[in-house]
Amino acid sequence: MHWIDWTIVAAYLIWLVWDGIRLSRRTTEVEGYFLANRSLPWWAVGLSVMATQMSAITLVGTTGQGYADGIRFVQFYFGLPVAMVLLSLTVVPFFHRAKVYTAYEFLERRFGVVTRSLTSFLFLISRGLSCGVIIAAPALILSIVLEWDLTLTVVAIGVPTVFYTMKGGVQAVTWTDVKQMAIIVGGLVAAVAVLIAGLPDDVGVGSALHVAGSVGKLQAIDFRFDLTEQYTFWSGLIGGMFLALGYFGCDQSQVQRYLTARSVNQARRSLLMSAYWKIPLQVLILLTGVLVFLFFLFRPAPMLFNPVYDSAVAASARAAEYGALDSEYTQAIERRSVAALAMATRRGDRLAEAALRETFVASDRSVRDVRQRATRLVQEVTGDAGYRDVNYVFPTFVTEFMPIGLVGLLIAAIFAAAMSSIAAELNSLSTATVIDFYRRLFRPQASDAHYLLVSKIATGFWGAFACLAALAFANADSLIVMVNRIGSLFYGSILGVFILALGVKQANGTGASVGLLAGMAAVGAVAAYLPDVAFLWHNVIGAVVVTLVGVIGSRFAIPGSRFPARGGL
Amino acid sequence: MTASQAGAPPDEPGSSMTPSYVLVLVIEAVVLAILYWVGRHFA
Repeated sequence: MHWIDWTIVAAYLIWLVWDGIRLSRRTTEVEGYFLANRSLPWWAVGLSVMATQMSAITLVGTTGQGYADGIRFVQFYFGLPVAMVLLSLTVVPFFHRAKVYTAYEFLERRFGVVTRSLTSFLFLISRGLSCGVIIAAPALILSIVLEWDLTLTVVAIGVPTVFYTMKGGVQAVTWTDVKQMAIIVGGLVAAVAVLIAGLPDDVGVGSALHVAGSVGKLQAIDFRFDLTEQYTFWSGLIGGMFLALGYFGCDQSQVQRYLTARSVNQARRSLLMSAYWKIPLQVLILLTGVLVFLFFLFRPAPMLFNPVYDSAVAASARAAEYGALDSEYTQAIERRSVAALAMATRRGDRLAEAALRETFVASDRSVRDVRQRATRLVQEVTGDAGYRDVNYVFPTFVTEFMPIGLVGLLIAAIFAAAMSSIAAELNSLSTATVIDFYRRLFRPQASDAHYLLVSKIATGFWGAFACLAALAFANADSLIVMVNRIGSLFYGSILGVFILALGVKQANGTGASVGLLAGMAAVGAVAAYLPDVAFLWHNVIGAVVVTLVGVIGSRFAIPGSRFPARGGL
Repeated sequence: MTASQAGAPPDEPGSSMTPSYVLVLVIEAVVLAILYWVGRHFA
């Protein structure tokens, strides 16, 4: 990287820490630290909600997904707008009326302390570990692409984030999120401009998109109803809606964002911002990936985008096999490049178009086939069974093909995407630790200054935990997969508990606790014995099982048992 | 906890969100229609 780009990245990190310190002056008590005294405007909260959801994995992985599979991943978000409307009508007014700090605090009023502690504990475990993954995934990719030391990369992402979150609380988190969203969107727009400018002179954007469309890269919607297909219209609309209801309605890292809003309607508007903008933003990110695909159609692209694995396999006992694949690949991309150019420049001639299209589709299939075999070889040689080369495509494009200055901006954007998610998660982990456990169970009568100090210590503790978990996860791919699977056990099930709390008058604490355990067991059983069922459906299964078992369990609960209902809503 | 204690607060006066909810659903339908058209047009 050029020194100008290094300067931009360094300036971004220094500015973040300075901004965090500046904003910390507004925070002198616990309600300010965790909820900004419920004073923030809807647009700032809305941008914070979006920044929290968009991690660096989203930015890097989704552009890679666009490169490989086109824009069909956008179906994942089809249920989100509907979920935002449902949440605005249901949990948002309840949370605001109840004046809670955490979503789980609300459950105690309905079902008792056991349900509150159990759901909050599940949140702490899953979010604490996922925070490590959110640091580890981009740190690993950036350390390879930028040739940085892995520990240094984790420190560069983790330490400034922990520092400003610890000092400034939710004020710092929200206002830095707003600025980070501007950097992320600005970086993406700059990347799109460079990609379009990088097309050959005689290839227009429309012609290029026809080339991408011929291999299905612009096929966004798949109406098949197939439970084993990961992304379809139905899995996105139904499974995605349940996932969004669980994530935005029951996960403290998101609930805490809109609890900071000035009023119920401001909180609703902040959620509706995602309802309006999430799908277009995801289309922009995926289209960036499609444009990277088009960019590499007309110039030599490496067979593997991860230079470390490329060298490792080239130096291994199977180097000859790898070399043969590389020669095959070089010929295949040359054929594809010629076919793509012919197809893009001969539009209008219908007869020729059909033949050229067929040639291009066949040549693209050959390139994909060689890359798949190369990826399998890498997996066998390195032992990294979950390796996905597409995660390295966008960072490689940024560092090798973006102009000086914009490289720094894009690297800062990847940092910003990681930091905005981590900051919100650390802030919410600290809130759940202090409010749901420390203040509720251990020190209910301490002073505000004491809780503020403990909150900052808890933020620091979770930050250190996340950084250490990141270092452990970065070298253990199966752990990352495991953490994601553990998380998917919880979302639908916790959503089921909230459905019982808000929608089932006769539900009680016993029913909710039994339902929660049954829901997690059901999702675990489906994941173990029906592994082909797409994970978006896990959320539906969890929520439905918890609701049904919760209703039945509440009916048969012994009157006066340990977790009695506190009355209906 | 009774319904009145735990229930939703009344909406803020003069600021019904219903038009916004309808707009969200209309915009989603339009965006999905555009995505469907893009898929067919560039296929």
